[in-house]
Amino acid sequence: MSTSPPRTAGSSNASADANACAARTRRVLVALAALVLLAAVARLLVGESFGWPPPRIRELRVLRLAIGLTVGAALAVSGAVLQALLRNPLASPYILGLSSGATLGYLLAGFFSVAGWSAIAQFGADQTSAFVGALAVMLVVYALAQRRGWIDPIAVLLIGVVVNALNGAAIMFVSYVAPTNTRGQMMLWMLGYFSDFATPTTIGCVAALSALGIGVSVALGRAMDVAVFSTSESWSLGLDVRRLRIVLFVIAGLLTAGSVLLAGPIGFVGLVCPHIVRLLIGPRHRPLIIGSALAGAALIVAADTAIKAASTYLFPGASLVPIGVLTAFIGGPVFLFFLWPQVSGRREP
Amino acid sequence: MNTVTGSQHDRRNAATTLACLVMLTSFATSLSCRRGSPPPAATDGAGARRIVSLAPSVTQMLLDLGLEREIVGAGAHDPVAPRGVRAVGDLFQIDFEALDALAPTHVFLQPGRSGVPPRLEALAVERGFVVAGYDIETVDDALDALAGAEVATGSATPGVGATLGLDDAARRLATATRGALERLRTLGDGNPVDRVLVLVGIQPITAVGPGTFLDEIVTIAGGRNVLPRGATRYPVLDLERVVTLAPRVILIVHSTTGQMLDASTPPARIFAGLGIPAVESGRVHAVFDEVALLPSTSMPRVAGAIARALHPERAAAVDAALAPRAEPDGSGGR
Repeated sequence: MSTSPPRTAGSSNASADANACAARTRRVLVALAALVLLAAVARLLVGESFGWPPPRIRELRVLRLAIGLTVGAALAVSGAVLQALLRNPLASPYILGLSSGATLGYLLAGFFSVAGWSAIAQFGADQTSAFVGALAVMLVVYALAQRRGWIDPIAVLLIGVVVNALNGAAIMFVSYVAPTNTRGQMMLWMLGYFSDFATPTTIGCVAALSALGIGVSVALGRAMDVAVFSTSESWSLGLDVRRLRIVLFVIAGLLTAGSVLLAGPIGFVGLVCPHIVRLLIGPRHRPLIIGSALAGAALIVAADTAIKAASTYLFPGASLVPIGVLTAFIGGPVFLFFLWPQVSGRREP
Repeated sequence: MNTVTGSQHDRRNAATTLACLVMLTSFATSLSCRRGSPPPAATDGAGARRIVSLAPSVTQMLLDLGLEREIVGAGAHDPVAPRGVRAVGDLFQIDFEALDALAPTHVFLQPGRSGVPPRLEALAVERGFVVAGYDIETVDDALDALAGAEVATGSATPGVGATLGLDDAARRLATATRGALERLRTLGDGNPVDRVLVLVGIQPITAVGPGTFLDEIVTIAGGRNVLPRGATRYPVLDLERVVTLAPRVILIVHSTTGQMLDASTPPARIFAGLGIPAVESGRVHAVFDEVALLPSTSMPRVAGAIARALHPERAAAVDAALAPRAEPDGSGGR
């Protein structure tokens, strides 16, 4: 007959805390999933006329919904992964120059097509150039930041910032030398709009790639928890830090490149969503990544719905607002709302 | 087996970075030198005009007035500037050093609401050249800027023709331009094509709203804009809006073939399969013209291209309307 070991009061409390934490995590994730569902239904109902649309219009709304879900989830998870990789709360797809690299790729393709390089014009037309631009920056940052296959988080961060600055300068330069009439179109694209001409195949491929990246990130959640410690501590706990960093770096790059392919550069989602979810459910990466994906998807779809509703019902005939503008308007105050109790409660030592 | 030390890595990375910077600089230099050749010395004699035009609309007028050899400077992005002319800034900023070096006698610009820059006015007083700024947004603005008596903004300077002492030539050109536009308008009066969607951008879809220069040209060419008057002159639309608007004709107007779509891409393909009447009836047309967005003396050409797209059955009549002819005041056409 076996007897269970006697439980101390401390272990009992810890177990109760863990159970409460798990329950809270479940509740938050369910709430976020409900938000995504709500935003998705609203997006399907909101359009030129409110209500369930006829098949042709429904197809268009479903495609936009798919873009919103994919882009939101991809950007938010990319941000969460980069924050873990770089051990920096300010890390986002922007900070490594991935978004600016995508923008530069798109603008260069457009610029060369203006100059009559029709082969490159094809890239500019379907935004593949943006995807290529993001991947190229990812490779450059990796090549410069790695030492014998080791990715140093500080080096990645610094080189990313430098590459980002160089991309910014190049973007301004290309915008300057481009013909005036093309420049306006380039600036509009840089504000972040869903691509109306992304085919279902393209959207499906990016969605599948994003799902794969998010899935691998979730699977690596425990390893990312361990990687929060120093490199030597992580090694001593049996984690192959070198491989983990490379995988996370590639995932973040691919997720960002895919989202830019569908919607241009959209800021803020990758920075804010992981932080909001972290404030709600804590720092464990597995639920954090799932929650970030849900929060990002809900934010982007809600923003797209609000933009469509505003341009149709509130200000009929008005121009569509760039989605990147609204995500900042929505995400900023929400972030401050969650962050404020912590900031206001902090005292100088 | 090759081993690489940390310092070798550092040197290699530094070399890679340097190479990237050199390539970028070379690329920049090659682009910036595209109009860097010295100005032509065709009219350097005493009393000759040395004209700088920072407004593409005015440059087009100068060309149509036969003053190509007297233009010594132009905006960096001026699509109609004569080849080899020195770039001295653009619509938003002026390279004062380059401008001064050209020793201009006349400077034309389109300063917008901010008016002629005070520094330019001061330089004009110091060097003794004439500055004229115009606000050219509509057909009437363009013709007034060409042949008006007191139209310049920011100074008491009259139109381009009067400023250059070419009143009669400018008036003839303005009359010919207005005459061609009126003949086109008359052609379309009987049976205008309604529900015309005019696009100037594809990624994102950017349309031309009422109250704009292009809307005016489309009306002259015998079309009616499908968009209602709204707060935005060039609204961004989504595909659902395009489908709901159900345009009978889609015109894709652009002054460059890049970015929007390749010239070899059939324009109808980008809206295919959505049940849009214009696509179903094969009435999606692309109008590529480097002066398509320019309110100037080139307006009849652009309006003619749009009229041919809107009324293909009247192509011959459109050609006849644009043919040079004697105007009622006895002046010759262009």
